[in-house]
Amino acid sequence: MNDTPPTGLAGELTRQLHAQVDQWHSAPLTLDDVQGKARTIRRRRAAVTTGIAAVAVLAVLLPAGLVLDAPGSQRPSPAPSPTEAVEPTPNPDGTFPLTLDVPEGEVPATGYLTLDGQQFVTQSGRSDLPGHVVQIAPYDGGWVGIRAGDYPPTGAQVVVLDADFEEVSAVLGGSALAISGDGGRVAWVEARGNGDDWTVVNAPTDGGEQIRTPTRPDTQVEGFLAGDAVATSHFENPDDDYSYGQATPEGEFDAIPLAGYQYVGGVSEASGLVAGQTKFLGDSTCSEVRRTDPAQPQLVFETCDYRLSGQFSPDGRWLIGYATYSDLGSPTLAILDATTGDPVVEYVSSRQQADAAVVHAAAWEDDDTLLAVVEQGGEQAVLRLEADGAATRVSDVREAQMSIEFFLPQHLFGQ
Amino acid sequence: MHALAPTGVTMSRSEARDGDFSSYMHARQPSLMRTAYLLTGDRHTAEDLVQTAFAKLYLSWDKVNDRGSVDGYVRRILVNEHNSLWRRAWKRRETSTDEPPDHPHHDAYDAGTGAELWDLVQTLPKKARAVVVLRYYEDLSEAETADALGISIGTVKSQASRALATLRERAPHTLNPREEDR
Repeated sequence: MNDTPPTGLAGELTRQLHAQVDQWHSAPLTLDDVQGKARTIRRRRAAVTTGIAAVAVLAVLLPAGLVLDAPGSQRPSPAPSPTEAVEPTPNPDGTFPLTLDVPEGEVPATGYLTLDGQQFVTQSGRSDLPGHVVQIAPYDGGWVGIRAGDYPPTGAQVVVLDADFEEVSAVLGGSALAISGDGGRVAWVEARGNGDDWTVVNAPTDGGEQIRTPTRPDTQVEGFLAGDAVATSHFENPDDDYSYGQATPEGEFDAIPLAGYQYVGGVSEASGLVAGQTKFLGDSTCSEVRRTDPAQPQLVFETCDYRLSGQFSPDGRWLIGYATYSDLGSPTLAILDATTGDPVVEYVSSRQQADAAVVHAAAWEDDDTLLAVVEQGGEQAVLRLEADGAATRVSDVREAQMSIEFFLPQHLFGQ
Repeated sequence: MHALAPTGVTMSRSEARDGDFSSYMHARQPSLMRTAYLLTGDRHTAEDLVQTAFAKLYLSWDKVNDRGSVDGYVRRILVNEHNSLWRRAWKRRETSTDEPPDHPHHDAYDAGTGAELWDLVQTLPKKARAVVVLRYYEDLSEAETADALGISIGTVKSQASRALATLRERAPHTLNPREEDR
């Protein structure tokens, strides 16, 4: 507690916060209210734990060879209705099938973007966008987005839209938009003047004062670090690996000791961890999770079973793991424990060519739920994938013609 | 600390536990509800938040050995739960309207400028607003605020400083005295 009463604006703030609520009374909660809510929470936790346990038990009891002959390619029953819950059915090895043939679910709370339709689809409806916007976030009472197109040298613009999605401004920019874990800040790279003056912009989503850090033209934002710093990457020269830095809240650049990363998949402001690929072995890869705090031991774990080119969950507990090597989308998608690399749940494509599915992109809808752009049989859709193996299709289905039809607002474009 | 039934018959363990928890909940609820309202700016969301925080505390009640630490523990649950409302944050932004914020109470001290300052507080980013509420309403120290929010003391300082700067910039002149803020 503080002994000295605050003065000035802080003192006025203290008085007004008390004036707002000190005389406020609400209906008291009863023990029954709380016990009811506790039962709901306990059920939800049990469902997740059961799913995890089922994965572990089945993985031990069943020979891996069964996967090829198992009815993993069998499609689940058609969705009875968009909202009816369907118990997820694991494959014999404990994984869950990666397929578009799943029940329909509610449009993601974070929405999704369609390339051809140039629309932002949310639970509130569909909104037309000015061009091929591939990332978007709330900003200054409207929106800020990345628009892909013929904009050399990056192929991207940072576009600011009003609340009705009308264009307010557009400048040449980097191809990614980073959003902080609590959604309170966004960061991008933009160019002013004749394209020589490049800046990392770190802005509160309420449109408050920006933190602007001058940078070099090929800089990309990679995500937020603790203390509102923004992790960035750039090529030293075409033959080198990426170099990494952080744009600090003071508007300066500090180095991050990430030597050895071929590229970074995700950074977590919540846990102070970074994940990315460290080795390319021809037809496989290895990846590492490390701490960004130089005062602590760097390596958390290494894996050659998953490619860590995806993001951490907003709370930093989980991490996306893709197939260790893939050219045209990943046939597997796992939610991993971010501190051990152990799989919590894994979605796996059928090995039958006719039913093969791949993941083009994935991003977190919230702390426990993934959204993924999945293609199967020439069709593409957005799926919601949960830690208990439940999957729902949350977009319409579009024909895919060697293209990505859907974009997820939080998925760093180009990652 | 476990209670006895009025008849003098010893309660079952679960009854005593529930009695123990109820006493704590009833004592602490008004204060938590106010903090939740200041964090969310919405009465119903605040009530949901407090109910969830107490439910999670109820599930952990047997594990909280140090009753002196319960206040900090339930505050942490409350703030973390609020911060994890990622979906709601997006929904709020998508469905934002021109309706004024919900004002539960204006007392005699408030001649209008207070409500204006409160409106400005509600425009702060979520993390900055949490720092403001814990520092200037709950009167927590920077270290206590950092602990409750799971962030560093440096971040608390920078968030508080930035929040005050934002409020100072936007507040009416009458709320902008040239005194040094702590």
